[in-house]
Amino acid sequence: MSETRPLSAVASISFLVREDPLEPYVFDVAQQLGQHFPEVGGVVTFTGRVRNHHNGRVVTALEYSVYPELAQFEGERIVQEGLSRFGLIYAHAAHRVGPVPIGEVAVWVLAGGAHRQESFSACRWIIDEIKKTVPVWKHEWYGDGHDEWILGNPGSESER
Amino acid sequence: MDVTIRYFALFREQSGCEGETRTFPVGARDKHLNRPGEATLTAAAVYSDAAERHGFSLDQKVLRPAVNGRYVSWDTPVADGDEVVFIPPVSGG
Repeated sequence: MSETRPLSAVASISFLVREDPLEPYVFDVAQQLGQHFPEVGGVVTFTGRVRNHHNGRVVTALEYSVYPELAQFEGERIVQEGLSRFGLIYAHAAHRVGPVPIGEVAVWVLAGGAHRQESFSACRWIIDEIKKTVPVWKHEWYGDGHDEWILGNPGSESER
Repeated sequence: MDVTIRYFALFREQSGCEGETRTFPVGARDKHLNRPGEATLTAAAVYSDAAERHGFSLDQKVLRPAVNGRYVSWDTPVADGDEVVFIPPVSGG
C-alpha cells in the first residue's frame, strides 16, 4: 500500500457537471489513473450515451436541464459514499448538461478498487444513485415533431 | 417575509419563468397543507401556493423539495430569505 493522495491527482473534484463534451476528458482520467494510483487493480467504468430512440419513438434531439448547486452537492456525496461503502481506492463521475447530440457521452462513472469485485459493485451503485437523486432532467424531441420532459420513477423515500 | 423560488425543467416551462420572489405574511398558514396548530410556513405550503398560481400539473407526492440547495422534507420550515426549489422526478443519465 502506498501513501494516500488527493483525488486531484487525476481530477480536482469527484463529480463534474458541465455543458462541454465529456470526451476526451473522461478517457484522460481513466488513462492517467494507473500512474497515480498503482494499487488500483480493477477498474470498472460505465458510459451512458444519448440514444436515438425512446419507448419506440425516434429521438432527434435531447437537452438536459440541471439545478447546478444541488447536482454538484449530491453528485459529490454519492461518489464519496460509493468510495467508502465499497472500499474503493479511487472514484469519479461526470454528467453533461445542456444540449447533447445523439451518440455523445451524457454520463460517466469510474470505480477503481484493488480488485474487480468491489469495482463492479460500486460502479453499478454509483450510476444507480446518480439516476435516482441528482437533479438533472431530460427533454427529448421526437421525429414526429413532439417533445417531452422525461420524468423518472420517484420511488419511495426508503428506496433513496 | 420573502422566499425565492427557482424553477427548473417542467416547472420552468409551466411557470414561464426561471424564478420569482414571493412575500408571505410572517407566520403564514397554508390553507391546504399546514396541519392544525402549525403556524410556520413549510416547503409544502410554498409549493401549494406556486402550484395554484401557475397551474402546475405534478402532484406534490412525486416531487422532492430543496431548501437552500439541499434536499429536505415537505414539513421543513421556510424562513425569510430562503431559496426553495421543487424537484420533479429526476431523469438524468
